[in-house]
Amino acid sequence: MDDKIRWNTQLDQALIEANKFKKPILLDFFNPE
Amino acid sequence: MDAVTYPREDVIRIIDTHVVALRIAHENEPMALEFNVKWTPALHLLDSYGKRYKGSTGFLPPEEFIPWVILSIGRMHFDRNEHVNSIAMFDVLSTKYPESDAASEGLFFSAVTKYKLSGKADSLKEAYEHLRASYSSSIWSKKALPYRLL
Repeated sequence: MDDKIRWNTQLDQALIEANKFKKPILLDFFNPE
Repeated sequence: MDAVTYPREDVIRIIDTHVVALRIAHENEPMALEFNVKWTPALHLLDSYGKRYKGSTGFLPPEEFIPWVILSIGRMHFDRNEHVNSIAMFDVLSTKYPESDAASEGLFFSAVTKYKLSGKADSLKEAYEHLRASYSSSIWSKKALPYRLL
């Protein structure tokens, strides 16, 4: 297990991974400031 | 979330095990517009086609974030008529996180899912009684009120 969350930053990239691993996506809209 | 929830080992584990994590800045268009983001953090559970199933606005501490993720996955399976998978997630919720705010909703939908599978109303009435006894102030206890008549 990673020691921190491995965030995707692009929807397309996350969809490919979600289909590959048969998992749903947790999308977090955040405030970077 | 970055200071309290996301660094926690149990949060990292639940994300690593169950979901693909995607992080987008709140001003990112067109996604923020599509998801109607007005405040952060804004969390959404999407299926692997990008369809949204459940959302949450505002900070969640680890002890509520983890159950919320499990509940959301269960609700996704429920909406997709994947009943066995939904019951499995709701069972995790009721077994491991009965004190969480998500637990009562999970209990409600677990009973509905079991009713859909069996056609028997016993699960609905049992859920009403369990909700009334353990989660009397929850909205899901109120939503189960009609089942007392079954």
